[in-house]
Amino acid sequence: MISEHRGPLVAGWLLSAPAVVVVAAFGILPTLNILLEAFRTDGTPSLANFQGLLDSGLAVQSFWRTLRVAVATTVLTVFAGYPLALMILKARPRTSTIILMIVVFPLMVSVVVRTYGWLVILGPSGIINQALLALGLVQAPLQLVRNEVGIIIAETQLLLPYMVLSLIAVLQKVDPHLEEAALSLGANPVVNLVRVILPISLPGLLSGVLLVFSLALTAFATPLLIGGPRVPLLTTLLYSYVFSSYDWGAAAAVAVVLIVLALVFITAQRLMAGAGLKRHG
Amino acid sequence: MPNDGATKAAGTPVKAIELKGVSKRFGSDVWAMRDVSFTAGQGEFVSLLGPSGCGKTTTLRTIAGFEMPTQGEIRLGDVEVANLPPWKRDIGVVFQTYALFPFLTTAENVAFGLKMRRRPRQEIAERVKGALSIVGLTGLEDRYPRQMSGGQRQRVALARALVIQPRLLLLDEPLSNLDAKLRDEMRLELKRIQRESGITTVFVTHDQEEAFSLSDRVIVMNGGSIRQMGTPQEIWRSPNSRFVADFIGVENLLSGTAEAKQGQTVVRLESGHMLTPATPGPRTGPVTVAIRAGDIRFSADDAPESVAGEIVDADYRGDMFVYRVATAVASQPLVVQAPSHEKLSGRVSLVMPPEKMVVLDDL
Repeated sequence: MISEHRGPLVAGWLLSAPAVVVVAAFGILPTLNILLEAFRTDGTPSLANFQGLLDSGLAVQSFWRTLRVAVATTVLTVFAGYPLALMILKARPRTSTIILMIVVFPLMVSVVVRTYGWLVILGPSGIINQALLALGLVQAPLQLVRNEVGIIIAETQLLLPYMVLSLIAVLQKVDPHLEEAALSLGANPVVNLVRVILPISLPGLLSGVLLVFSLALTAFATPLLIGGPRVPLLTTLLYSYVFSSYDWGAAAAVAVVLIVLALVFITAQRLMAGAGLKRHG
Repeated sequence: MPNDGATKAAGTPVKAIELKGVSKRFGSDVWAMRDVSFTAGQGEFVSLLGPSGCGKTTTLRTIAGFEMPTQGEIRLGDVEVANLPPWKRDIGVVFQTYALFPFLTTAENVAFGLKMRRRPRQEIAERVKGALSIVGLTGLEDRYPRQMSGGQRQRVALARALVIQPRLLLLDEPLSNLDAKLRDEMRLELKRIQRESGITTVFVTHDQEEAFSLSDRVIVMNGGSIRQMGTPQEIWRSPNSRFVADFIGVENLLSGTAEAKQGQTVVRLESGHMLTPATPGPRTGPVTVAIRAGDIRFSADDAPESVAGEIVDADYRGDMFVYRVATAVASQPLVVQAPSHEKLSGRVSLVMPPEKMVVLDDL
């Protein structure tokens, strides 16, 4: 019995050994090194790097800005993604394919192209400001880039597909008769949405929120190109520590903060999903 | 019938539901229902019977309000509902898939419709309790659907539909996801519960046995149209067309041509054999002669009007044998039933009693 089970297990380990070595050498060890670096100053253990972050107004601002952007992006993708997912599921096959294509399209475009696209649309002389000025709704162009608003808009568009796909994955499996049962029992479509569809889609909503939030937390290219160095997030701050001020200790500390943020959030989501699963089965 | 009293008191029979010339078109040219008209009296149990794609489910969905009819009227009592949304129709529906809310317990599932009607908590609790006891689920209030068997889920679905005291109960093949034994049990239960509650019921099924055993009246559908309406006995005894006879399981359907001969109508089968049914059809031309396996008898070789044949195979069914007998009468072997104490083989003679033959439109 035991040898039967050990055979393939040993073979599996052997076969995966090269991959394990590569991942360990180029992934895990450097990461551990960075983590250690964060807790060391001039070769001795200390928390000076973190103290430095707390003392730096820019770092504290970045921390809160990162959270604000991630939360706002997540909330926006929920509110934009939910109706889209429902629309895609309700529409005729042809129409739903087209909507889905449009939603997923950003994932297939280079981040640089997509981001410059947003600069063209949101910039002071961009389409939106031109339109608002022409309609007389504003006197001067709105500031939509080089600030949080621009980052949130661009990231919402970028991360929307993750939310929509997570929701579709769950909603697709729902027995269509469930909705009809609710309607026949006296629920109008709004009540049906709140009391039946929403609770059923909760697992998809949670996994979408997890995906979008962690991706928003760690997004780099969009905040760098749309926000620029004056509105740093933790990721772009880390970048500038490494490449502008060569402060590796501070950069490592920022990395630790990012990792802890992600872990806290994932744990919270797991706990919520666990509670939800107990009810859903 | 529990509601006879009410019906008589009103003077004229109360039509719990009436469909008048209802048609439903999908896309530009697919007619799922063509000119469907029928009524059901208060407390009546009506079955829509037919093969898949016959329009029975569309009819049910149109009554429930999940589909809008392309034309026609649907009345519940004296209310025209064709333009009412489902949530204003007060119709209970039990689905083939049960469609229980997976995130709600049994009691919460059953309470759903009452909560939608904003009934007081106390009343909801009492009515849920009552409904669960009617379907025999007392004690399972806190189970989630996934923790229950198919039969139990079925009962929850039934309780959920009944508890709102709907004007009409619609059942969409509710028994077809159950195994055979449970299906028989649930069928009896369903009949008892429907009789006790007295709720007018429209039942959709493709199973003629279910339809016959449950219904006061059976409506046979095909191709979106009603083909025959009547009590189970009427349809069993006198199907009105080849389609209906075939669908309710008349084993022997012989194609032929009705001809007038010496003042009598005879049917010339494709084989050239002549049959003289006791009750000829109303017309001449292509017809089908239907005769059940149980109505054909084995006879002595020299009996008058007997047909020679040879047994092709014998299917033992416990209380009887079902034989297939090759004859010169028809290209297909005739199906004949006989009690199981006489296992026959080889060459035999058959008698087809003229009074058991039914002449049908060849449709």
